[in-house]
This record gives sequence, C-alpha cells and structure tokens, in this order.
Amino acid sequence: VKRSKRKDSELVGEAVSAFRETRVPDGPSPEVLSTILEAGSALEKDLQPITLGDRRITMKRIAKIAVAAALLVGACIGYSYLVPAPDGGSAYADDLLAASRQIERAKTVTWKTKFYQSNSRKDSEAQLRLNDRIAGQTRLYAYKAPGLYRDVTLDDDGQVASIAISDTVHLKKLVLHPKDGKATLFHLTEPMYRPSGPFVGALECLKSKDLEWLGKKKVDGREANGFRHAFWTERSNHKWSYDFWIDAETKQLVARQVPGLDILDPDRIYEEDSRESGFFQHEIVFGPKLDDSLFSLEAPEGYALEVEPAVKITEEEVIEFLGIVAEYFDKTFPDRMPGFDHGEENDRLQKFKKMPKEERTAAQNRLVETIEKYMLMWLPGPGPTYTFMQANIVDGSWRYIGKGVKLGDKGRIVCWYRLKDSQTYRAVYGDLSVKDVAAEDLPLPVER
Amino acid sequence: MTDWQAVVGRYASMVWQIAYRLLDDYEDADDCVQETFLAALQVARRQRVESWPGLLACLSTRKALNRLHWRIRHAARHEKPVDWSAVSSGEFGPEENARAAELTGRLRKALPELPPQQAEVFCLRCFQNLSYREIARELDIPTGSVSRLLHRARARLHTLLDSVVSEDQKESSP
Repeated sequence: VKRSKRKDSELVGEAVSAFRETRVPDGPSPEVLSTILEAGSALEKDLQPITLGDRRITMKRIAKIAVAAALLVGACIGYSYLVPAPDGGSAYADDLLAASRQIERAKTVTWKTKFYQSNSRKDSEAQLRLNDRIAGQTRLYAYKAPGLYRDVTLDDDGQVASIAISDTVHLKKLVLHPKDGKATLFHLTEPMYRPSGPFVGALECLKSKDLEWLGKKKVDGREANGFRHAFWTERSNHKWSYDFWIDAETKQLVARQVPGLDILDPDRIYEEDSRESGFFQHEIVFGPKLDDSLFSLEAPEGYALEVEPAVKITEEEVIEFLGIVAEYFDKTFPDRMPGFDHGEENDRLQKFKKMPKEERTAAQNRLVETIEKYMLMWLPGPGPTYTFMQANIVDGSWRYIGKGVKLGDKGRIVCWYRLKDSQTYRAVYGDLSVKDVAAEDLPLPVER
Repeated sequence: MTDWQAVVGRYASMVWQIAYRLLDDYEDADDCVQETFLAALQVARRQRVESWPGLLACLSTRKALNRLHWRIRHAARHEKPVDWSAVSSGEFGPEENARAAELTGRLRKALPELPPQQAEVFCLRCFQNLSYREIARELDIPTGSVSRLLHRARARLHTLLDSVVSEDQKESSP
C-alpha cells in the first residue's frame, strides 16, 4: 500500500512539475493591458477629492430614480443558486458557447430595452414613483469598451426625450435633454452598469448546465432558441429567472427577458397581482461600428451645462444613521451593521414598508424613510456609511464593535475609523458622541 | 493611494502566466487577465488590499478554473490537441516532453473535477507557492482548512490522474 501511495504522490508531483515547466508565450495582449490601465485610473480618481469650479444644482430626481432602478435590477444578477431543471442546454452547447464568446469579446453592442411593470404594486410612494417613471419606456442602448454606455430614452411619440452617456470607468454621466437644450454632468459614486459589458452578467447563466430549453420562436424576425435560467435568489429569497433567445443560425444572443415569462408575462401583466417589474432586451447587435462621438462626455454646442458633483456625506449624517439603526433594534446596537438590501433584515424592512405608516413604530418609520432617502440618492448601503467611508476614511480603518451597546451608553464605543490625514481615530460612543482617540487607547489593536 | 499602473506593471505577467498555464489558450488567458484585474479593481474600491500578489493570484486562479470547468462540460467540442512544443525543453528528450505535455493536459482536465475550493487551494499552493497563511487570508478560511483542503485535493488528483494513466496503459497494451 505504501508503495502504491508513493507512486501516486510521485505522479501528482510529476504533473505539477510538468505544469510549472509549461512554456508561456508573451502576454497579455497590449489591448488588454490598455483596458486594464484605463479602468484603473478611475480608482485613483476615486480617492481624490473632486475639484470643481462648477455650480452645484439639485440632482434631478427622475434621473436618480432611473439609475436606482437600473442598479436594483442589475443587482439581482449573479446572486443565485440553481434549482434542478430539465437538461435543455446541453443539446445546444455549441450555440451557448458561441453566444457566450461573443458576449465576452464584444467591444461594441447596441440593443433596445422595453420596461414594464404591474400596476397593482402597493409599495411605498417612492417605489411607485420609480415604477411609474420607467414603466412602458423603450430605451435604445449602446456600449463601447472600455465601460462606455449610451442610453437614449424616447417619449410617447418616439422622439428623443433624453440621452444619457455614462463612463463606468471614470464614474461620470452626461445627461442631455435635446428639447430644452440642457446638459447635466453627474459625478457618480458607483458605476451604474457593468464596466466589462452589458451582457457579461448573463455569462454565468448561459454556462449553467441546468438551463431549460424553451423551444424555438421568432424574435424580431429571426428564428431563435430560447433558454431559461431559473433559481432562488439568496438576496431576496424568492424565485427568479432569465429567458435568453439565441439566433438559431448565427448563434448570437438576440434577446433577454428579465424576469423570465414563468415569473412575469408582460402580456398578462395587468391581470396579475404581481409585485415584479421587468424588462425585455432585444435587437441586440454585437460589434457594430460606433463612433466615439456618441460617447462623448462633452456637452454638445448650444447646450447649457450644469455640473452635479458626487454626493457628499457628512460625519453627522453617518452618526445620525447609526442612531436610527440602534433605535430600530430596540435602542440597542445590532451584532453587525446590516446592509438592509438583502437577506433577513431586508425581508423585515420590506414587511414594514408595506405596512401603513400609522401602524409602524416611530423607529420603523425613521429607518424606512432614511433607507429610502439614500436609495433614491443611489448610494450603496447601508445608508450613507459606505459613501462616507469611501470619501473620508483611511481604507480598512472602519471597525464596528457595537454588539449589545445600549443607545445612550456614553462609556462604550460602537465603532471607530480614521479620517484621511489624521493620526487619531474617531470613536463613536453609544450616546452618539464622537471623540478623537489614539490608536493605543482603542479597545482592540489596529493596523497603522 | 493605490498606484494602479505599478500594480499592473508588477503583476500582469504573473497573472498572465497563471491564466495561460491553466487555460493553454491565448485568447482565453487574455480574457482571464482582463477579468482578473477588473475584479481586483472592484475589490480595491471596497476595501484595502493587503496583498496584491495574493489577491491577483487568487482571482486569476479562480477565473481560470471557472473557464476550465466550463470547458470540461463541453469537452468534446472544445478538445484541443496537445501542444507538444509548449513543454519542449533542451533538458529533456522527446519522450519526456511528450509525457510532460500529456501530464499537464491530464492535470488541466482533472482540476475542474475537484470541488472549487480544493482546486483553488491546490493551485495556489502547488503552482504559486503561496503559504498556508497567505491562502487562508485570500480565501478567508482558517489555516487548518487549507491543510485539509490541500490533502483532499491531492488525494482526489491521485485518483483522477492514476485512473487516466491506468487507462492509457491499458489502451497501449497489446
């Protein structure tokens, strides 16, 4: 037995040695290197204060809402695990592989998206406003690597209502309103679309061995095979699905429906008491020639430009939020700071959101309103904390130790962080007071 | 502040080598490098990166293994003939080179058969020489788990490689 084991071990060792000896050609390609470097410059800009001689105006609510909608829908992608489904994908492995390759390698893409929703939704006012705004819209999209998106919204007469050009690498967005000649430049805190491409989120789905084949149908005049990827979302704990349509001849992805028709059928949307909204992406074209001018972040001649800097969050707002959270948890700081955007705490919050205001406690009302406020500002959660940390504190210096601390306890620290250019730490106590504390006086060791 | 240009300059070659060795395909490796650095950027936006080489080795290994896994599901359609020249070395004769190429190919096929975390630990330890502690930090697992996962990965690879080799011997027997 020993001899056999030694032989096996030698075999793996030999394979590892051979593997390590493999000759590797020069790489990566200059194109990839340039994309990576370009993407990285955004990170450095992230860490620098935005210098503006610009006027600050109030951000247009509708634009923010649309962005929030896109983010929320996009956030669903990728948080899944699979449920058993008929083995429909394997017979079309070549088609799926070809479609995936095209998505991965696309440097330009154009497509249309139609949004729809159930009117029976009885969520909070803000959610209704958001849904009303985007429902029934058709938008024309274009993508160009690295990370540039163009999003044209049409009005009811099919005329261009607005054009949004987003640079997801440098985190800027220019919105043009041709009818009144206005242009607004936004500085974003997070990319609203995937920098690596519009359908990259679909790749994992297309690679799933549990894809269900939906048969063939005509999509925009092309015969296409349909595939469904169905799963339970961990974030919101319900069933979700995506339907994909791949041209039977060219093997290109030609349409995607989110959620799939098993969850929400837009033709029957007004008959159902569904909580879901959805969209249909179609007329997808990979590799069209797109002029750089389509993605220019310079306002065209004749437009009045207004500049909206990135949202700035103050320390006071963060402290206030901590207090609101503690109030919500029966005046005791929770074990860890919840994100409120997924999992158990999100479920609980959603439950409260559906209740009439009068039936909620004051603490629940405050949290619901606060979370909603920051959601509409398109800030990644929880609340204002992430945005504040990104802009103001030394990376990795945030530490939360609030478990069990009573709101009002002036003797116990809830959390601390180190502001940029500061040698001491800002310690937040249970009574929401803040003190400057030296590293050696903190209750736990910190990295300097 | 992160000097991204320096990070890319210093580690692009390392990431490329990890990707290429695992994938044995120029375009796939190119894509893998891009995905790795873009993913690393996302990490850097959210938290301080303690070790760039560790993070990049981990991300590139994971992404390359994912691609290998995808390939194995479509093995018949993605079969690539062994590139004998890829392992050629002046130190060995043609037979040794052929065996090395064969073993490398077998290893690429065997790795996606392992549970993902076992495969990652194995690659990071055996190909990248990361310490148990570094692997534990990058994968956010206890150091003891690294040792256990590595042991299981080796055992499973023994079986997988041995069965392949045995089959080959059987086939070549008269």
